[in-house]
Amino acid sequence: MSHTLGRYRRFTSNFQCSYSVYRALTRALHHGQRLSQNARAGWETVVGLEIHAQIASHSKLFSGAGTQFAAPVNNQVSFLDAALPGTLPVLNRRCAEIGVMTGLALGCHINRESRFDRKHYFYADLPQGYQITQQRQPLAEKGEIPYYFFVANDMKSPTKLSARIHHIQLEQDSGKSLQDPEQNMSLIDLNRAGMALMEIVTEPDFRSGEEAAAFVKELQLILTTIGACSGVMAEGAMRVDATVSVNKVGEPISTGVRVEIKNVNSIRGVAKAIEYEFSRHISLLEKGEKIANETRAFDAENVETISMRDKEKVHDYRFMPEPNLPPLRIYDNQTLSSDLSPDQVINVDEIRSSMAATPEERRLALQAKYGLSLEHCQVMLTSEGTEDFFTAVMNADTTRDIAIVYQLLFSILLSFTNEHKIPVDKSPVDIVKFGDTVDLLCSKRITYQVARNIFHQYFEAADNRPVEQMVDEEDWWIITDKTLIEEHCKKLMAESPKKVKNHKKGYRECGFHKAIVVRTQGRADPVLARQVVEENMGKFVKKK
Amino acid sequence: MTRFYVNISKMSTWMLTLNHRCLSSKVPAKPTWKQIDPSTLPKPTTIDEATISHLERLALVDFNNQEGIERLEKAIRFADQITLVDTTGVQPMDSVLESRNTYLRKDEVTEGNCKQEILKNAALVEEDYFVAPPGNIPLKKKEKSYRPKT
Amino acid sequence: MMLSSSLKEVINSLRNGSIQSKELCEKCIRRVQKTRELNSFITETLDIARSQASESQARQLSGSSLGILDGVPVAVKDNFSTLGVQTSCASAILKGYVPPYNATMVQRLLDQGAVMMGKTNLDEFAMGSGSLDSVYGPVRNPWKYTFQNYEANKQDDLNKQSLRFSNKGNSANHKNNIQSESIKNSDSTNGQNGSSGIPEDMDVSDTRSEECDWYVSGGSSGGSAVAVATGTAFAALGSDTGGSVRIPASYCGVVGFKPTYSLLSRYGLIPLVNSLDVPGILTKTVDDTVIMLNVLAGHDVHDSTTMTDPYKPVLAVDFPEKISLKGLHIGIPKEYHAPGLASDVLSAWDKAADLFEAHGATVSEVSLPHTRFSIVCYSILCACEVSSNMARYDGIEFGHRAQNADASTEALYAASRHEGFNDVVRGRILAGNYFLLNKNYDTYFIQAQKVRKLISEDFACVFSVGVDVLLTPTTLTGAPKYSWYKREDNRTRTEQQDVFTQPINMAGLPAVSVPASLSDEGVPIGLQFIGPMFSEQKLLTVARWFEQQVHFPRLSLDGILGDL
Repeated sequence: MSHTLGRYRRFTSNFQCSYSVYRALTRALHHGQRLSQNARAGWETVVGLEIHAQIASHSKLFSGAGTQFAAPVNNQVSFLDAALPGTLPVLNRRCAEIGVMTGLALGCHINRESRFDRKHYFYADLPQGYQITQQRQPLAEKGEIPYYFFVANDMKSPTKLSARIHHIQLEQDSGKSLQDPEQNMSLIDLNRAGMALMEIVTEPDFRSGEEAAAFVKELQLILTTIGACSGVMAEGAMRVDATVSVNKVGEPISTGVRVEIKNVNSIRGVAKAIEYEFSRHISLLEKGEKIANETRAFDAENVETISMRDKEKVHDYRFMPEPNLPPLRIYDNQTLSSDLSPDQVINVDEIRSSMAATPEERRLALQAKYGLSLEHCQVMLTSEGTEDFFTAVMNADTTRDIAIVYQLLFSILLSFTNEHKIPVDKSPVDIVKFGDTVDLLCSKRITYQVARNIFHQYFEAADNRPVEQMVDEEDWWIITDKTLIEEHCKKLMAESPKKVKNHKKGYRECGFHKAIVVRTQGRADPVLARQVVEENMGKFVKKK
Repeated sequence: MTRFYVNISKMSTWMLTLNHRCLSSKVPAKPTWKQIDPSTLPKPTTIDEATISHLERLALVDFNNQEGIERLEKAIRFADQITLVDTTGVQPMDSVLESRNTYLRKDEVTEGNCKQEILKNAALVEEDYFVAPPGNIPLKKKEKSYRPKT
Repeated sequence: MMLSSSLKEVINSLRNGSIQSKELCEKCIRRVQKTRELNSFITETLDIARSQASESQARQLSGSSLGILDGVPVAVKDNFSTLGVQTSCASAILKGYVPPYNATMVQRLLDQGAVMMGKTNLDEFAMGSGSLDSVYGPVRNPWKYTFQNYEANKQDDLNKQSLRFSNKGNSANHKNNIQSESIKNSDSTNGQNGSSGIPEDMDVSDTRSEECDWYVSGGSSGGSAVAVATGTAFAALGSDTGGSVRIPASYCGVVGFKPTYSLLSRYGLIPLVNSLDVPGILTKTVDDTVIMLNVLAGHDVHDSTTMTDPYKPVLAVDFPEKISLKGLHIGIPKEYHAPGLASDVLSAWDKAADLFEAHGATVSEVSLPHTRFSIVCYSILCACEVSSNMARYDGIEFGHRAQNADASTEALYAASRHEGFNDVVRGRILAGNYFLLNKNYDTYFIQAQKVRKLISEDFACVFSVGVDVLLTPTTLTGAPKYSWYKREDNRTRTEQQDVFTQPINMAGLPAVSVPASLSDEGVPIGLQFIGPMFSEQKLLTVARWFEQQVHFPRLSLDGILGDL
């Protein structure tokens, strides 16, 4: 796999020019397609996203307090997080590394020098009265990632789109406030205050809620794959702010008034909130009314956006450089200096070579090596452990039929592991047993139904026999004896004359081929069974 | 009244020769610059009502009285002198440590787990939470439904 | 006599047994009590000191001293966080705030076995050059001070005493000013703070007649400077943002040292301007400063702005040839003859320059062309950082919280901050917010950052052509009278008084103020030595040599307050 990966990476870097031409053509091609999908009486709908992703580190961005979800109230708070006077921020190395890794995964340029700033506003869950963020010089800029958009829920043939990343910045998360309406107060828990966030800001490259949702899904997959973020939106590990505007087709995007929808915490919610907002805008504009430039929240229960009127933002954040943090410098193999101690150096080349492959890299590699369809690749990427399992099976014997391996893995093995809630790599059907089963299927010595029976034995009966031994002892070899099958067929025809009649008259297919398989404990070759039934009953032609 | 003693005898002779300097001094005899002529400055800023309320909102600190407003106007007037310096081509300086790198800490949990100490200095605490007035709840106005027609 | 000793002398006395820790501590305690009129302490930690001294004595008897400062009384400015002891920054907003941790500087002193006498008084949040703007009242300079009623201060029970300056009643008689409400904080044996009530109608203006006037101690580390000058501590921690250690040192006749930015850790030092602040050291002699510096300097993992290179201790050495200073190049920046420089200060500066030249040093006039804009630049950067650093004072997690203001978060914050901050602090917060507004950012803040660069380059240029050390006055005048000082407001006085000291903070350089002579009125004048970054060794060697030539008289209160 890494060999293929290396080839892919070299391929893209050597052919950067033609690849970007490809991207531009793709975008132009799809633009027309997307416009026609979303055109609502001459309106163009535009979305830009800001995603806040919690960095998966053990401790916070600038303090040594822990980052566990659902810790006891105010127990994961250091003196710095509580903004006690005299405390100073110290940058967590791992957070910076993860930021770099994310920048690389999103195709960004990593700034060799980035700085921290203070963004000032008063809020009960922001004890310092400012947030430390990166406003002037963020960690990474100008990236782009492909993502897959399924038009009208057609899961078979996705459209490949691409979205540009404006920048990625590191910043602190705020605490949480719970409203207690009875006692008329807010209760503040600072456990989350100071946790590391990456703010990923896109260009306004989306034209519908579904596109934006598809992008968020891909981003989530990327971040979880490289280990940057847990991606669990329900726990607040990823929050999406969407900026939405509507303009007449042909007019510049800037003519639309922008409205920000804050803190959407589910992928479906992203699509719904945006679509609701578009409808609201179009409805108002068609009546000749104005859109207010404001911030809104998404009410998931009622599926609508509501104005956050009392969060009237005082827009002047009075940014100021953070004086307690000298610049963050990122090195590479060229600029590395021997007088720096290794634990004080972050080397982008080292990170690039040791980071996990991104989903797109894995998809392309799987397609290149195994000729798998995009849909199959997607399935493999989203089912944990299956890619490794698949490649291990193929590596053990490269002549194995890919389609059979895929089918056995996803249609049969996964149904067992899901039912028993165990990961693929811990299943009683290990790579050897699986491979042996594949081989028997490939050589047409057993049927898929028998394969299912075999796995059932391993999962339910704690059977430990090698595959071939089990098949032999259970006498599960495939039945290819046509005479035998014909006997079964004729028997069935004799038992159910009504079915024969309905089949020949075109009312209902007899389904004898299935019955034959059942009667032979799954051993009958289903293709042969169908052929025999057709020969004896005639092909079923449904009567109109 | 008690007297205040200084042990004069310990002073060195050089102090007493204050008026008998014979070496030429590199110290300039007269001031080498004057206070800035206010006429060279831009127009003085007066703080209008809008700015007063804007600043009070941003800072959550009040001017309190006319004296406070005058204090700010004086501070701005004083600061206006900075515009007289020619800074063409000069890079702004965040701090003297610009050529240094920020220190990188290992990703270990070394703090926290000190809830009592964290809460100890708060004037108001409710069951391990800090307490603030209510607010920042999105107002739910009954708007016409803009749900997309499906 | 013991209390007029230097730190070095008292360390020797402890070592050779001529005095023991407990006895020394008691002497200092008595001196603290007798000098309460000077108002140098906000919180006296006398019981803590006694128990620390007791432990120190036991250690020394068993030969297991913690370090060089074991048993030595020290004082700490009340903007350094001290575990279990109130840290107020002389402000109502931190009334009753007891930090759960020690500042690194404090910790390093305690790790050596130092004995903490108390938290010293300062201008509120270190904003000021006179130590006059504190909710606990102003600090008074012991020089030429007329002590009254020190007999009354013999009482140990601090809760019955206070010092309060009221314009009611006969101000000529201090006795009438003793009230029953306490503003001093006392510690109990387990280190918890006693009540720290601030009298509601606190009025710090002093309208005594001229004959009862006193000299200003300088600020903002006035309390620390006075603590050292009066012998209540042998060394004190201060903080220097624009001269806050050097100015009070100059006025009180002690040595005030500002280290290179990033040499000493700021963790736990409640900040005024993060990019300019440094912890500073106040002592009687330069040798004492060296001892303290070697204990305090070095990398701190809690402060990302500290130097990571290993710290090389400064050695108290003489010049190779005791008489000749050949090879030493002293620079005299001509712009430091600023408008308003007093003639007695000018004379002292003159004499010092001549002294160096007479002993073989090269003394030449140099130029720091942007000096006159330095104070303007400082005022902008200071206001901006202050407005940011003060944003955390909202009363939710700590500090003063207003009552009956819970209508909304903003209303509560505004009320707490109104009640908690004095005019000076509020004025700077508003100015800082003004300068940081989007529309003003480039005109003021960015421009000030550029001017800061020019100032820094001025110094770098001068040092790069071979100048070793710059010699300048520390202040425009000798210590001024309180009545004169109060004629202008805090902001104006800071503008004037900080003129020679704040450029050094902008460039992050080390500097030291050494007492040089007495003014025409008989109060101290200090001279300032400035070196390039990390040149503490050379700088302090030069300062030490100068100090040895001057033989500046140490203040001795033994005659007035009883021989201790």
